[in-house]
Amino acid sequence: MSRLFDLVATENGKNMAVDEEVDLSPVKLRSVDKELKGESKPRGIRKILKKEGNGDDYPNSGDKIKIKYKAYLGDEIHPEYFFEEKDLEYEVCRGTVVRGFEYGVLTMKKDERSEIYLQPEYAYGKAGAPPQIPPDSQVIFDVTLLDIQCPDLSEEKDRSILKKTIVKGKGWKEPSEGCMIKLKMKGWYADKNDERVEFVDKEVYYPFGEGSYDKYDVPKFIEDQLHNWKKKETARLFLKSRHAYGETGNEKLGIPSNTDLTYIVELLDFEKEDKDVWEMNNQEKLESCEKLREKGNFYFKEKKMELAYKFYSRIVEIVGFDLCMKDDEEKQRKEVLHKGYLNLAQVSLNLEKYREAKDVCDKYFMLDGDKNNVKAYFRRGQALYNLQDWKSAKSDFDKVLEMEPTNKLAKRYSTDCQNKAKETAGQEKELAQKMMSGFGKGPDERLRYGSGMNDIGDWSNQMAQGMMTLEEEQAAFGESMPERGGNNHGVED
Amino acid sequence: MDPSIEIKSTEDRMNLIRECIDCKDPVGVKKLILEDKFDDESAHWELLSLLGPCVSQENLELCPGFVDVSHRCMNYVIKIGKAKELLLALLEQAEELGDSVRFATFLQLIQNTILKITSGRVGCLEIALETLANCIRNLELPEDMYHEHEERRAQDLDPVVAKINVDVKEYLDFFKPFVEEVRLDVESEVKNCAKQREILVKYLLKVIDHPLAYLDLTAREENGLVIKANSRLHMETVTGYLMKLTPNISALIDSSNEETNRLMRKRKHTEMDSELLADIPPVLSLCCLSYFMHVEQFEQTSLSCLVTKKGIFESNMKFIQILMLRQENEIRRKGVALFMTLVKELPPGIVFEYEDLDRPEYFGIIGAIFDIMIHSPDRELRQCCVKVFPSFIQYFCYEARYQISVKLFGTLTHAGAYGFCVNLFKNQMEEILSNPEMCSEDAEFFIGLNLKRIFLLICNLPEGPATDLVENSDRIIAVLNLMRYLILRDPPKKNLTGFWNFIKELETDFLKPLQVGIDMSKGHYALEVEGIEKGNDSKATNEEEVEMSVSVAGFKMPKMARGQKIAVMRQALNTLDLINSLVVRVNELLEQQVKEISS
Repeated sequence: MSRLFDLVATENGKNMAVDEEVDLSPVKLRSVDKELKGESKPRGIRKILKKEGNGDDYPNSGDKIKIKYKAYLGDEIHPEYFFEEKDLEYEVCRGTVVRGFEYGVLTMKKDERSEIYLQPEYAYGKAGAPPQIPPDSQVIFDVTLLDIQCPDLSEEKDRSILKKTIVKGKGWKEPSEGCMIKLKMKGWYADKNDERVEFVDKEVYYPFGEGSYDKYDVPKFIEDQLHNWKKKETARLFLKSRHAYGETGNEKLGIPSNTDLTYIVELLDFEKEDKDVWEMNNQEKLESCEKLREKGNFYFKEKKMELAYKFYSRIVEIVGFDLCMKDDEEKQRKEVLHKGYLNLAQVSLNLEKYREAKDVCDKYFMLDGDKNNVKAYFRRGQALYNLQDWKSAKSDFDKVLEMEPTNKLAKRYSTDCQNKAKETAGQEKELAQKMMSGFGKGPDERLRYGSGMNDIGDWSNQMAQGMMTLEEEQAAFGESMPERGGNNHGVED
Repeated sequence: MDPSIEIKSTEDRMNLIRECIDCKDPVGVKKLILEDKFDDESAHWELLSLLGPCVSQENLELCPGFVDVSHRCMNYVIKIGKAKELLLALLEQAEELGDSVRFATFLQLIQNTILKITSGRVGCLEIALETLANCIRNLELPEDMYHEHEERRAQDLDPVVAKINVDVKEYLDFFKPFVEEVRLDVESEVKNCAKQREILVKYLLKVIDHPLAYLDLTAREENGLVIKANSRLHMETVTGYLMKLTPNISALIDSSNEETNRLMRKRKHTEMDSELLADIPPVLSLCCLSYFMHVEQFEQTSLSCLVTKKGIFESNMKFIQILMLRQENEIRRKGVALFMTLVKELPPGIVFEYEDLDRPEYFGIIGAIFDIMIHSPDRELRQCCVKVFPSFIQYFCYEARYQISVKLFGTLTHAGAYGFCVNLFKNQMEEILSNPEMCSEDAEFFIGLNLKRIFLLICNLPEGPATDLVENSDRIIAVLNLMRYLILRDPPKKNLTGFWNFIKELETDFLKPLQVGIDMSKGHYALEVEGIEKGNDSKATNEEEVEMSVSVAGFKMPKMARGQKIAVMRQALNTLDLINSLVVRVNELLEQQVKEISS
C-alpha cells in the first residue's frame, strides 16, 4: 500500500465533464499492472462524474467534509448488491477512510456527485471487511459531496481566521519554539476597488518564536498559527483585521486600518532534533548535519560566533566517528565533515581558539581532505601564526601562495612569519621552543585550561593583536563575505 | 408537641417547627407544615434549610418516620414555592452532600424543582449539574485492585464501590427526564434544545471521567450467563443517554477530542484562565468511550463502512497511550484491551511506514507496553503485553522495525525485557534469512553495517569484564543465542548478513571480556559459598559484612538463613555456568566454521 503522505489529489480527476470516466490510481499496483499487460482490465480507481460541483475549492488536508454515499459491491451498480447508505462527516487526508475512496473525494467539488469504482487493492484488500464486504471484492461508491469546511482557527468560531491548505505537509514533526525555521510568505489585501494589493513577499530563516523582531518581521498573528504545521506545508491564511493589524494598520507595510489580510505561507523547512544520534539512520544523520551547518552559517553571519561554533562542532559529534556508512553515504559523510571542519576552523579562529583551529585543520587533511584546499592551509597558517609557530605557519602560507600566487594577505603573513622567526631567534625563541616542544605530543596542559597563553604576562602577543579582524580580512581580499561559499575565507556552502 | 397551642404568627410556627425538628418529632412537623398547609412564602427558604439536614442515613436508621416526613414536607414546599428560588436553597445544601440517602433525596428534590421551572430552565439545569457533578467528582475511588479472573467479580463488594454504585445510579436517574425531553429522534418542545443537549453531554462525559473510568466495565460470559458489574450497567446507561443526544458516538468522540486538542494547544501557548480549563472535555472519558465502543463492541453498527481498521487504530492511538500511561491498574487494563483489540482487527497487508514512527504516540505506546511488561503487578496484563507486542511490530515496514529495535536496544535497561527484544530480533533475522526472495532493499536494513550497529548496542558490557553478569544474564544469554543462531544459519561461505565481517571485533570486545568476567564472577561466588559453608561461626558474628559485600542481580542480599543464601548463590553460579557453556559453544562453532572454510 502506498503511504499516507502521498495522499494528494490527482489532477486528472478535476474538471471532468459529466459522464466522463478517468483513472485516478496514483501508482500502478503490481498486480494491476500484470492484468493490464494482458488486456484492458478495470483499473484501480475509476471515477465517473454524474453531476458537476460548484466553486473552486477541492478538499485538502485539514478540511472537514460532509458526504452522502451509497455503497455497492461488484463492478457495476446493481440494486441487488447495495449494502450501505449513510451520511458521513470526516477530516480528509487523515487516512481514516478507504484509500481509493479518499483519492476520489479529493478531486471533487462541493455539490458534485460522482461514482467511484474501486479495485480491492484500493478498498478492503484481500481480507475484505466481514461481514459486510467479502474478501477481495470490488466496491462502488455513489458519493455526493455536501460540504467542505476549511478549519476555522479563531477563538470565537466566527470564521475570522481561516486556513485552507494548498499543499499538505509531510511527516509528523512540528516546529517548536526556538528551532530554526524557514518560511516563505506572501501577503495581500483588497483595497477599496477590490484590487489586490500585495504588501509582502519574502523568504525568512530565523529562530521560531522571535519572528516579531524587526529584523525578521514575521507578525505574531502568523507565527501563532504555525505551531502545528508540518514540513513543506503550504496554506492560505485569511485573517480579519482585528486578528491582524487592527485599527492602527501598519504604516511600514502600507496597510490601512481595519483591513482583512490574506497570506500564503509556505513552511519550507525547520530543524528539529528530537532523536539522539544513535537513534538516527544514516540519512537522518546527514540531513541533521546539513541543518546544523545552515544554522551555524546563520549565526556566523549574525556574528554570534559562540553559537556558530556550537553547531559546527555538533556536526563533528554526529558524523565524526560514524563507522556504519559506506559508498555514497560515506562520501556524503566526508563531504559534510570536510565542510564542517573548515567552518569550525574559521569560527575557532574568530573565537581565538587557535590550537583548536589548527587541530581541526589537521583532522581535515587526515580525513582525505582536499590536499589543494587553499582555505584549509590559510586557516591553519593563521592558527599557527597566532600560536607563534612561525616556521610551520610560514610553510602553510607558502602552500597558499603556491596555489594562489596573487594572494596578498598570504604573502604578507608569509613575510611576517619570516621576520618573526628571525626576531625570536634569541631568548624568546628558546622559551617558545620549550613551549612548543609539547605540541604534537598530545594536548598541552597549559593550553587546555582556558586562554592560558594570553594570561601569561611575559607573552606579548602583539602579532595576534595585529591580526586582522574578519572585516579587515574581507576588505583585504577585496571581497565582501559572500552569501554562500565560493570565497576562500567565508563559510563553506 | 401540644396540639392545643395556638399559633398566631409565622414566627411562632417556625419556632415550633424548630423545636420539633430538634427532638425529631415527625408528628409535630407533619402537623405544622402539611396538615396546616403552611404556605408563607417568606419561610420557604428557611424551612428547606431546616428540613434538609434531617434527611440522613443516621436519622433513617434511628427514626425512619421522621426522615419520611421531612422528605414529604420538602416536597410540599417545593410544590407550592417559587421553583427558582428554592432550587438555590437546595443547591446550597447540595454542595456538601454526605451519605447516599441524603444524596438520593436531594437529587429527586432538585429534579422536581427544575422540572417545575418553565423559563430559563437550561441555565438552572446547568447550575444544578455543576453542583451535583462536584459531589460525584468528590466520590472516593476504590484502592487500586489487582484482581484476576474470578476475583474481579468481587469488586462490587467493596464498600467504596458500593457507595459509588448507589450514588451514580441515583445521579443517572436524575438525568433521565432531561435526556428524554430533548432526545434526537423525537420532536422536542423544549426551548434551547441544542444547548440542553450540549450541557447534558458535557456532564455525562464527566461521570465517565470520574468514577466510571476507574471501575470494571467488562461483560464476561460464564456458563452461558453474561456477568456485568454494576459499573458496567451504569456505563451502558450513560452511553444510552449519549446515543439519544448525539447522532453517533464516534462523531462525538472525534469532535470532543478536537476541542480538547484545540484548548490544550491554546493552554500551552497562552495563559489560560481556569474557567476555560473546566470546559475541556475530559480526555479520559473519551478514551473510555472509545474503549467501550471497540472492546465491548457497543454501538459498532454506527461506524461507516468507509472507515478503515487502520484509520480506527490511528485515531485511537492517542487514547491508547493515555490509558496505558496511567498508573491505575483498571485504566491500564482498558488501554491494553483497546490496543489488543484494535491490533487484532488490523487486516494483514497493512503497513506502518518509517515516517509514521515520527508520530510521538508510537514510541509512547511501545514505552508504555514495556513499562507494563516490566513493572505491572498484574500478571494477566503483563502477559497480554508480551503477547501483543510481537504481533504489533509485524505491521511495521522493515525499516521501521529496524528503527524500533535500535531504539529499544538503546533505551531498555531491564535485562529480561532486553533479552525478549533480542529474541524478537533473532526471529526477525530468521524471517529474512528464510526468505531469500525478499526484496533486497528490505533485507538491507538487517544486514551488513546495520547489523553491526545492532551488535554494537546489544554487546555492550558497560563495565567490561566487571559487569554484573548475573544481573545482565537474560540479555547476555539472548545475545549469545543470537550469535549462535547466526553462526549456524549463515556460515562464512555465504555470509549473507555480513556477520563475519565484524566477527573479530565481537570476539575481542565481547566474547573475551565476557569470558574473563565469567571466570571472575564464578570465583567470587564460589568463594562466598565456601566462606558461608565452612566459616559459619565467624560469619554469624560478622553478619553485616557479608551483606555489604554480596549482591546478586543488583540487589543486596537481605538477611536470610544460611541455607537460603547458599541456594541463591548456587543459582547465580548455575546461571554463570549456563552463560559459560554458551560462550564455549559459540567459540567452538566459530572455530568449526572457520576451519571448514579454510579446508
